[in-house]
Amino acid sequence: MATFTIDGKEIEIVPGKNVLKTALDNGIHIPHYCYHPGLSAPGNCRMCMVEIEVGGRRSLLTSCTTMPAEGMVVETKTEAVARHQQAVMEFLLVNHPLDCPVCDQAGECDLQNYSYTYGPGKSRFAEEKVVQPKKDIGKHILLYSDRCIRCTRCIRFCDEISGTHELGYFNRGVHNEIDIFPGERLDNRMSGNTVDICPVGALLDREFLFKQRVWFLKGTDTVCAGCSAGCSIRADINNERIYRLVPRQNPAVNDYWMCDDGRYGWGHVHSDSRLLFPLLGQGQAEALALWEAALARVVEGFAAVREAHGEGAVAGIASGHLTNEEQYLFGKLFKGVLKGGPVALRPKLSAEGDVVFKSGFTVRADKTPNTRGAREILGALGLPVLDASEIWKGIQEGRIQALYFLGGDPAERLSETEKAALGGVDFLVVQDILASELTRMAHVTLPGAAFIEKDGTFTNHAGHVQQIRRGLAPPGDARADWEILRDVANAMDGGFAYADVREVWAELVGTVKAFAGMDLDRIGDRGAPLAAAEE
Amino acid sequence: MPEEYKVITKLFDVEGLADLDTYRAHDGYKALEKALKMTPDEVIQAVQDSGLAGRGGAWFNTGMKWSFMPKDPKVPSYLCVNCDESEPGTFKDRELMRRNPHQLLEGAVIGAYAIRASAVYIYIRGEMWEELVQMERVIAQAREAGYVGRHILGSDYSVEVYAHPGAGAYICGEETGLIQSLEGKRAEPRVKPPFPAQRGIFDCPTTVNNVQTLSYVPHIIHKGTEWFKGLGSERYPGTFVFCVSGHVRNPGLFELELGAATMREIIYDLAGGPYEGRALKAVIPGGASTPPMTPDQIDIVMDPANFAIPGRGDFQGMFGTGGMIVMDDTTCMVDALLNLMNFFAHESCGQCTPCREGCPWARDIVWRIEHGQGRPEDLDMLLEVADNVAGFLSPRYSTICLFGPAFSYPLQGFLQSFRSEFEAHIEQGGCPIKQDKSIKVPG
Repeated sequence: MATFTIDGKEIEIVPGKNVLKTALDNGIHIPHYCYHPGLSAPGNCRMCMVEIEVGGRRSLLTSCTTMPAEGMVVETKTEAVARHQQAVMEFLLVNHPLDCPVCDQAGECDLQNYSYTYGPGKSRFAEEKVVQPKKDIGKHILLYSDRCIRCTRCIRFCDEISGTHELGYFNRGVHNEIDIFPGERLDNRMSGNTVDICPVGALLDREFLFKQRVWFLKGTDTVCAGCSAGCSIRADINNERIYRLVPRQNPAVNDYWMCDDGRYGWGHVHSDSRLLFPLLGQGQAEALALWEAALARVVEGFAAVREAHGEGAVAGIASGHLTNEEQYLFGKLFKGVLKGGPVALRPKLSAEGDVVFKSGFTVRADKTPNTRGAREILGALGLPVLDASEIWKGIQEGRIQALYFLGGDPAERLSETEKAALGGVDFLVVQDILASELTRMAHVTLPGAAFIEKDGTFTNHAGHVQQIRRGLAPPGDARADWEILRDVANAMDGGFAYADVREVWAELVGTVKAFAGMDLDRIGDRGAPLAAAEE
Repeated sequence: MPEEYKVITKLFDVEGLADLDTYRAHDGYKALEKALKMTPDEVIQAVQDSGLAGRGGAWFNTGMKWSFMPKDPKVPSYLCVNCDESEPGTFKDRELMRRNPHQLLEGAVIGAYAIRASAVYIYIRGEMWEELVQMERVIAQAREAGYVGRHILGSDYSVEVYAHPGAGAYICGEETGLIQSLEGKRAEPRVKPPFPAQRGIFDCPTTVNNVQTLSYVPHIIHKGTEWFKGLGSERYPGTFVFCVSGHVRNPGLFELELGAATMREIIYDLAGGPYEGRALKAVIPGGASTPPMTPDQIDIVMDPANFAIPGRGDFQGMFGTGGMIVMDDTTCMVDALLNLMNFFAHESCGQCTPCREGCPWARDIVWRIEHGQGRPEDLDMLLEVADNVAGFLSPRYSTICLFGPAFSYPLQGFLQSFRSEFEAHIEQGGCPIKQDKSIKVPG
């Protein structure tokens, strides 16, 4: 085992891992700007220089471009290092504007933080600063070049990760600046990541700009519900509102990135069209109702159809937007309590297919976060998941007379066939989050919760199970979907005695083989693969 | 009086030397013929044994440098000729290229053969357009005569030679900046390691040699290792082409054996010394990036061994490029430094923090001092700013490339040797030397 030491601590050499990353992974912080673990190391900011002794020669070297070697001695806290860090901080700030009070990055700015920890505390610079322009460089992105410290993370992101090459470096010396190439815009589908990785307030998110000071935000670690990739994200929330979604590092899923579709895809959570109360009656006749009345109507409606047409006349449309726990409850309700007939999934596939970027990062064509979970769980409960066309056919042929329709799609659209079929059922229950042409056709509409309003787990396209967490309360009288399913079952005397979604999870793990042996502690923040996916 | 010993500048006055026939009439391409009969390793050995050291400033044994190149290349390897001479006060490479281009080309092809290169790139500073055009003509002549191209002189060795115009920046002369520029990228020096011999042009093994270095190669092959070793000093054999400019009566190029003369002899005996009634004030010994020397320091013998390279032994000054800029007592040293600082602030590529921010900062402070707005604390601050970029004459520097030291050494040197003049500017609130800065053509 080859080793080297950092600050006297003996550390094993991991081939290909530079001194800086090795130190960070071992709890030794070396300040840095241009280095990002997801990108190449250009060594241009000079902040990560530490004293490195190899073969008896001691010198200040950039730890991001130095690979550990057997017997190497690295010192990160010597007088020389501290002096150098102070010098670099002073250099970085000579032309940096003092506009922290109006800068979006304030509070999560490496320039601020390192200034406090490593900087000289005051400036000796008495000359005129170089002032650079503010630029509109993309649909979501603004560049305040004035604050830029030219670490080139954004350029490298566009070269190495998205592979779209919109950004370049222009002019020379102190006048050099980041910009889009002529005729280009920073409009690639991953552009928002450049804001995340900008260590200062140069790259700004147009949507987030001036909306919120970051120290007011409370982060909820969850999973993006935009597609079946299931990127690990953090939802930043204040005053019961989402202000932004940012990616969390997860090597098993999304590395450090997320796409703009997901990043800006949370508008529906705060939409005016959110369903706030149960609704009874269709179209113009819709009326708000209390849960008791709505549940009673559900029980009554399904019972009437069952009585008139038999058990097979009640069908279900499951949803890839709901959690694993909800799939489980739906399956259990449908099979054991409602005693319904066929169950189907409506796939939601984007016509463009999977969009793959240079680094391999993929925006999935399947725009549901949990279709894989729905299939695994419903299948395991003995409910073969049919194609939705089977259900429409059944309705046309008169075999199906009632439908329990789980929605959850932020952009629900019905085809003509679907509309025709749904118009033909005697009793339609829709559980959804937004008012749509679908809910207007329903006899009973049950208001559910968006991904950020409930706890649970999603299974992504590859069978990786991750936790989503509640960061907001559902609006109005809306409830988490697992609660609705529980309440519907109990209204039918199903005896679903779950006080907490964790109890559902525990039962799911004990029942569905693919989930056997999983526990939430092990899943943690990064998730874990299904037993089937692990093989 | 020191005597010039001309090797690479010997034929400078021959009419039409840029034509192949004239060059051949002076033993041209005999060395290449001889080299092709040797194995590449024998050529490397000969050059290594001759003691030829890189004239670009590092003084590293050229043959040794060549020996780092792969002997059995799996990917193409390249020889790159650094003709981006942009160091202020230095004009030898330009003359070598202008007056004896075949000599350089012959040396380059021999070098390429030794390192098994498949192509030679002659990277010529963009401002030297005439030299570039001439070099292309010279390459075409050589190709026609079979000295360049496929199966050189009927041998198995083939090499293509390209003349490439530079992109107009000082930093293109830094070898990895040059490689970046050659690849069509911004001339931003690369982090080393990897060194060019491992990953150079297009990530393939590359040797970058200076024009002057390669110009010696045909002579070493032709006249032999022992002949070359007999010239110059023991540690640094051979001659050197000094460029003397500034306040001297006879500026120009002087080729001398290394160690054959003192700086004083070169300035006074060969370059004619200062004008009538003027006194020597300072000499920048080897291009703008070397700290200035004062009249009491110029009895040093011009051998790189006496100067030592920063971090390698006792130091008395920097040899640099041998481009001496002589300044007499009419020169304001603050003004002279401001000129240099303007240059470095303009030429910093801006890639890494200390240089990008430090150079213009220092320039602004020196500008203030020269224009009567200096403050007493400015001088120590200047020294600290410079030291934060690169410690004076130490191997410690915080930048990616040697531009950092190139900027900070002269700054620190000027302040060290002429501090009182800076203080006088600050005390008097202006430049004490009222001088006429217009350019005059001597009548």
